[in-house]
This record gives sequence, structure tokens and C-alpha cells, in this order.
Amino acid sequence: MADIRLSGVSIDFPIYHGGARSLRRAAVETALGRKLRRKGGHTSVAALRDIDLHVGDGDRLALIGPNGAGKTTLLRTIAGIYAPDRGRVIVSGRLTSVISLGIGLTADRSGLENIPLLAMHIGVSPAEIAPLTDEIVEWTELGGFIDAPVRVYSAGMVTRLAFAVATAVRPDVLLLDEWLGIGDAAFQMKAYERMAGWVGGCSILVLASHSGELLRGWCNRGIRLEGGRIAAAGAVADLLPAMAISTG
Amino acid sequence: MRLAGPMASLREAGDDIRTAAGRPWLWGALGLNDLRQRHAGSLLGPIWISANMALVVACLTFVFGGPLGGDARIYAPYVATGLVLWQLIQSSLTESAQAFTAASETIRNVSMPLSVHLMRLIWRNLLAAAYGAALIPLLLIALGIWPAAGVLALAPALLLLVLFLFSSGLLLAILGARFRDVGPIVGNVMQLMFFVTPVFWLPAAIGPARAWIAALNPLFAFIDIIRAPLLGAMPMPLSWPIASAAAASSTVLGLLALAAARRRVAFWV
Repeated sequence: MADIRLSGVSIDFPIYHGGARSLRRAAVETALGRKLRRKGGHTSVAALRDIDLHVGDGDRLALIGPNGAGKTTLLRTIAGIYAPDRGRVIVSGRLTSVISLGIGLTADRSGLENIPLLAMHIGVSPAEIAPLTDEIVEWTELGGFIDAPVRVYSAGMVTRLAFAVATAVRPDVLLLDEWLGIGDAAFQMKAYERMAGWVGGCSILVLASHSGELLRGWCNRGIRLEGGRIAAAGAVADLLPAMAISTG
Repeated sequence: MRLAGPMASLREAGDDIRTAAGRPWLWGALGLNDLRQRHAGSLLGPIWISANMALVVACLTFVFGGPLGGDARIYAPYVATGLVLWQLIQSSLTESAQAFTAASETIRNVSMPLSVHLMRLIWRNLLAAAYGAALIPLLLIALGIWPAAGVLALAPALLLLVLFLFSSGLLLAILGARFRDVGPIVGNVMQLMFFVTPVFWLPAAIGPARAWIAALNPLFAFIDIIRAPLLGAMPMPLSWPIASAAAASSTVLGLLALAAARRRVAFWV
């Protein structure tokens, strides 16, 4: 049973200019009271505004919207990385978020040694990943390179390794950010196949992407974000044209 | 409506530490990886730490063994133990100020308890300290020094030091994430502390009028409760109380800082 529930979620993103991180400036501002702070202090951007959202078993939710609309912020909020300023986020089920591929990669270690390192960054213990190692190595088709330090890998090889680890274990809730448009055509095909099997095993998928093809292929409902608010919700096909128009 | 009241924030801070502590496979592997990474490609690897320690101890004993150390026989293990502990304290505290900023990519992209980054940092410094400490039993055996009965207090003393390093590290990491000046400040203060703390000199060397400099220094208290029993002596009477008080207050401050800032750190790094 997987479930995501957001009610009235708002996030203000603090923006720190060079000076706002300075201890001297903070001390001066505290000494002079709050007046200065309002003038020269931190600026914040409304990243999410009053988001109400329920995603249940079997939902494949597309996040649609122009750059800066809040798609990645919403994913990070569901993942528990950002805490909302107002509102509640309740997620049940094992969650994996792949917002950026290859977190935890150590360039001086071999591909094989990097498998548990990559896995533990998405919450998968070495004991859990160990029995899957052979399958991962085989899928990456890295051959002898698997024992070479990742430093000497090409970008595509790194992607293959990180991708194979990220998709080795099936979570209940899967959050994906725009990172599927990577690698050459052959890799795309191969990745697509593996993704299809992987996504099929998850209860909930939330996918943020600009690719209409990807969103139409994998999602059964969607929301369109604009300026941190949910501007529209419904079938993916209905939301996509609006996106095309709004982005010109 | 603010989601978290003070009590809820404290509970969340406690959960963060508990969850992290329950994943030794995570911080253990990352800490070990850091240590191997630091010595990647070198022939001796972390044994360089042991070799470097032996060289420094030999030189310091040659130069200062007479004038500062009194009994030259006791000086070599005294300075060896002092330096190993100092290295552990100094690198833990200095690195703590950058613990969150150094892990910013992880913090902003995956959900992981913040305490993991501190546990990883302390674990890699403990491992490095173990390499440095390899010299100590050899010295004790060679010089025929037998640890005092108080050596049984070694485990609680080490635990107290780890608690102090972890909790003050949390505080420094949070301050360091918000204010980028904290890192250099901690670095400078620790450099100064090295000279005013009896690491390579005996407390008696500065005379009774300045004895308080050593006696009231919490960093010396931690070194003393571990070093003295190893060398067959008793720690100074104030060392245990001061070390306990320092660990207790840093625990309170670290926990409060985590409760106050846990939800903000991802925005700061």
C-alpha cells in the first residue's frame, strides 16, 4: 500500500547572497535589530504555493510545467528533502527518489566497488544489493571496465552504471526527475526496456519531464505547475498542449 | 500553520540521530571509503599515518624530551598518545564545520538523516586515529610501562570523547552551513588551542601560577582521562568532571541546534 498526500503545502526558498552568509553581517543585524534585515536581508522565492495533492496505488503522475515552475522542488518535498513551511506531507511505502543520477559515486573506486556506494545513497543496504550485483554488472555491459576506477569511464559508462544501480531495487513509490534523455540511442532503448519493467513493479510513479512522449507513455494522470501552484490537473494528453503553448 | 512545534522538532532531531545510528553500514562504509580515498594510489596507504606519527614522536622526544617532558622515558608515549588524541579532536572539529556543505549534493538530492554525515566524519577520524595509535602499545612495551588499573575507564572515556565530538560537530556543521565564516574560525581556534593544550608539554612545565590553563581546558580534560591511565597514572582530579560537563553541554547544544535547523539545512547547503 503506497500513498502520497499533500495538503496546503507551501515552500519559500531562501536566497542567500554573498553577504547574507557572513557572520559579521548577521551580528551587525542582530545588534541593530530587525529593521536592517528587512532592507538588506534575505530574499525568498515562493517555490511552492498551497499544493493539495493525493496520489494513490497505481497512479502514474506526470509533473508538467516550464523551467522554474516547481517540479523538482515538489519532488524533493515528497521525498522529504525539503520540509514545507506550511502544510503537511504524508508518504507511506518505501520511497526511492532519483532526482540526480550518480549521487555517491567515488571516482577513484572501481565500478564494482561503486555499486554498494551508489546503492546506499538511495537507501539500499550493501546486504540488499549484494545478490543483485551480478545482474547489474551484466546489464551495464562494462566488461573488464567494471574493475577499473570510474575516473577512466566515459560519461555514458558512468550513466549506465548509476542507472543500473538506481533501477536494481523496486520501491513502492518512485520519484524521477528529468534524467532519462541521456546516453546514445542504443542506451536509450535498453534503458527504456529496463525502466518499463522497473516502473511496472512500483505502486506509484511521479515523473517530472519536458518530454511529452515520455509523459504520455508512462503516466495516467498529470498536474501542470505554474509559479509553484497547481494550474491544472487531469489527463496527461489534455495538459500537454497547454504546456506547449505556454512555453511558446 | 507552522508544522513543527519545539517538542516535535526535538523529537525529529532525536529520530534523525537514531535513524542514522541504526545504519552503521552507511556511515561505516562512507567513512572507510573517505580514508581509503585520502590515501588512494599511495604505496603505504593509511600506514602513512602510523609512519608520520612515529617520525613526529621521535623528533619531539629528541628535542623536548628533556626540557618539557621531565622524565624522558615517559615523554615518548606521553606525546604519542597526546598527538593521536589531538589529531582526532582537531580534525573532527575542523572538518565538522564543513560536514554539511561538503555533502551538499547528497543532502539536496536524496533523503538521508543529517547525522549520517557527522557519524561518517567521526568514523573516518577514529579509523585514522587507530593507525596513529598503533605505535602506542609498542612504545609502552618497549619502555616497560604498565597501564594503571584506571585503564578500565578507557572505554567510557573514549565514549565520552566521541559523544562530545559528535554533538559539538553537529553544532559546528549547522553553523558552518549557515555562516561560511565558521570553518576558518574553527580552524584558527584549533590551531591556537594546540599550543595552549598540554599535548606535547606536561602541565607542570608552565608552573603553578598558570596551572589553570591546563586544568580548566576541556580539550585537555578529554586527553587526560584517556592518556593518564594508559601511562600508569591517575587523571587530574578535575578532568573527569570537566570532560563530563563539556560532553553534557555540547549534547544539549547540538540537539537544540539540530532541532532548530534540521528542516533548513537543505536550503542552506
